[in-house]
Amino acid sequence: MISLLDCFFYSISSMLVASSLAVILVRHPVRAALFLVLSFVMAAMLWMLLEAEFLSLVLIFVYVGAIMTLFLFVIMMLPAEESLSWKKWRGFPFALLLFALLLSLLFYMLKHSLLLGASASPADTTSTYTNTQAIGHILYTQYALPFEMIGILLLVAMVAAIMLTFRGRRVDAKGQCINKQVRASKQDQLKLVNIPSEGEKG
Amino acid sequence: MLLKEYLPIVVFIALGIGFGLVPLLAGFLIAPSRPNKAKESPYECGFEAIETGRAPFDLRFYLVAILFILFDLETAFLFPWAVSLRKISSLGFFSMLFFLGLLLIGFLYEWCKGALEWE
Amino acid sequence: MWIPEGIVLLAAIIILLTGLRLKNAKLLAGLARFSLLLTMLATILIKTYSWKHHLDTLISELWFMDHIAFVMKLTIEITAWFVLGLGVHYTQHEDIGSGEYYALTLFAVLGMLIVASAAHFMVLFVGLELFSLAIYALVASQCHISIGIEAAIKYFVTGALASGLLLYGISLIYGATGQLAFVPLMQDLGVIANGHSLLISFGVICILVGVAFKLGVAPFHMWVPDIYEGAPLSVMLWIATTAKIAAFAILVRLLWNVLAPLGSIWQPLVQFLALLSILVGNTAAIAQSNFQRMLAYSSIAHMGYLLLAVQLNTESAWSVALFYMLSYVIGTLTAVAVILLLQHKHAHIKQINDLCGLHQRHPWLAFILLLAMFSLAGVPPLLGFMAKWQIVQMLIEQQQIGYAITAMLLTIVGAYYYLRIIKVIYFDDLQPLDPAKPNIYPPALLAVQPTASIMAALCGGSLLFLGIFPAQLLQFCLQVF
Repeated sequence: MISLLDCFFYSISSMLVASSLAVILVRHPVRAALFLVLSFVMAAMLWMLLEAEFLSLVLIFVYVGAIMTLFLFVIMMLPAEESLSWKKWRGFPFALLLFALLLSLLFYMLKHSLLLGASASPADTTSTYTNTQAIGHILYTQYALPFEMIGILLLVAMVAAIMLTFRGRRVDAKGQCINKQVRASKQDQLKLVNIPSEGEKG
Repeated sequence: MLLKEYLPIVVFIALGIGFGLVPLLAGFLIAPSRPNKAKESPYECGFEAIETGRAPFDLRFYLVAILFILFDLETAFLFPWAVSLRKISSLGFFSMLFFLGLLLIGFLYEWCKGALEWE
Repeated sequence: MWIPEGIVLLAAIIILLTGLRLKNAKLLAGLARFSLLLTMLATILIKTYSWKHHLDTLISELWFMDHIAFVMKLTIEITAWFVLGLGVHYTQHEDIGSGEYYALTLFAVLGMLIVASAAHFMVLFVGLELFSLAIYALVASQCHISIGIEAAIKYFVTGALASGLLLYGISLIYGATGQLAFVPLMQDLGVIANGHSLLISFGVICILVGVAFKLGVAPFHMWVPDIYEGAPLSVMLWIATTAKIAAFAILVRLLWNVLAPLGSIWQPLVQFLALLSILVGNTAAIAQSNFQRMLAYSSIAHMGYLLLAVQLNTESAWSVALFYMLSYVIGTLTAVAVILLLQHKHAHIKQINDLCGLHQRHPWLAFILLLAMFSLAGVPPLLGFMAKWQIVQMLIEQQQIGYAITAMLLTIVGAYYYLRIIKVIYFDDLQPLDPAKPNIYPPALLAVQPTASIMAALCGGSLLFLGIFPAQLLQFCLQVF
């Protein structure tokens, strides 16, 4: 008996797998990035099925909205050599071996009792108490310390990004200087010159 | 169940994808397609393309994108805080203020540094 | 409770903002070092206070205030103070000593302090990311030099991979037990230690691999030599000393405070990592002609010895590992201090051969470098020998004679490349920097740096002193665990 939920799950996860494969198989880097966007969206939908609404929307909000934009910028920054060639097959047997190993390990794990203790299931799933509230409830009180640390981490990221990419203002930069504009007076800008007209001369 | 509330959205997405794909597919399947060499070549007048259309981006775009991501994350943290503000007492309120203060310092720094200026 | 961290954070922010206007590297470094002194004071005061009033060593399942946290924090602060002091001239000379540079170093210290007293996976991971991120940026601070960029990218990619593996391992363990806080998790793991599932062992392996990357032990060591070579020397010192202590702190927290009941899973793996690192480090270092690369391989070998103690998983073995860590840190600090003092206006000391005839020009520096090399090699009256001796003794006590013999044999192999440097310093002739100008020799002082010289002498002297009188330090280490 397959419920509607299972149906959704299988269709979404198969699309996730397909688009993730496309990310590494497609030749054009921009297309690969767009497939990555698709796989993020699919992953977000899977999380939605798990009723992790907030995380799912944050995945779209942050990853699709911001990080993928950055990815595209980076791809644009690369030299315009587009086709990642298929010629380099040297690492392939090793990669296949690793893949088979990881896959078999995963299957083995899934076969043998996956969860040991009772995994924490959402305690309260009534519609009045949402996932977002539950996260907010513990994140800002019980886990206030790691939360502040994340703030520091973001600050460090900001400083590091500026330190690494910012090369200072250019000397000949054309920019607006509001101070100067306000201070400007008629005397500095305008010069009245008395030019005798042609007629008077003659 | 809560998930049921999302069913209209799923239908909406499915319809959107359908509307996007069906005309394209229909055109692809129904329209006559007889390619030959002259048609496939670049446009009949003008020159062959010398280089690809993509020019390397300035590094500044990248900096702006990174700064955008950081503040984007900040707003992502504001959502659950706003939703649960009534339940998290003053500790939760002030922990968010401290967090915002840290990012404010980062903002001040980048402003004074001139990283936000565009020439 | 969070006063030391608060001081570091405040100082980092102040330096960041004043650095916008103030371009004086010396002043900024002085500010950073002053704040570190305050932090040390605060750490000690808080420890004595909580000890007097018998305060709880665990705060809301997030934060340890125990002996381990205290010792790790103090070591990190003192080492950071030395590293900053030694690097002042170099940063000024290389024009990297901006406000951002010192702010990021302090943020890195903050992350390390957080890691040292983390009692929760979330705190540990965020602290780890905090100091890693700051160091990635520091490695790239000379962004016009291509080798520096290469090092930074390598460090970033491998570091991100390591963080990912660590996080994956944590998530697997969380999935199996539903616990993220160390104390209840360790109790749970103690209950199920014998009948653990594959999920848990896979998680443990992932965590171990992640930490091994951070610690830079073989076979996860590929990044170490390139980063030591490519990073600015002052940042390299940072990676080689304080970051290693922080990685050791992570190791202690994870293997001793969480995964100790699962020793049967990780002990054989750590044995493998240890032996392979000693082998790879000691043999590959012989082939190096670059001083920084040699130090990198030497650090890999030293981490191997450290893990040889760790794999015993007893209280006294962890104490010996701590003792070994301290000896390694002081030895490396001394060696790099001398090299930092020797940076010349026109030529950096990169190759080992640049040190030719150092004895003739700077006998004192040559002697300090000799002490460092002898200590790292494990030659008797010095600290490095005592540390190695403790480990071998511990191994023999635990009936691991084979490991003890292997470790000793490979130490003899390793002694070769340390002794080669001493040969170059003492028995090779001076070589002019430029054949056209026979009067200019490379190992000339950049400037007279009294404080840095005193610091280098202090490090070298402590190697000798602690080597002859190790009892106090050893006793101290034994009380920690």
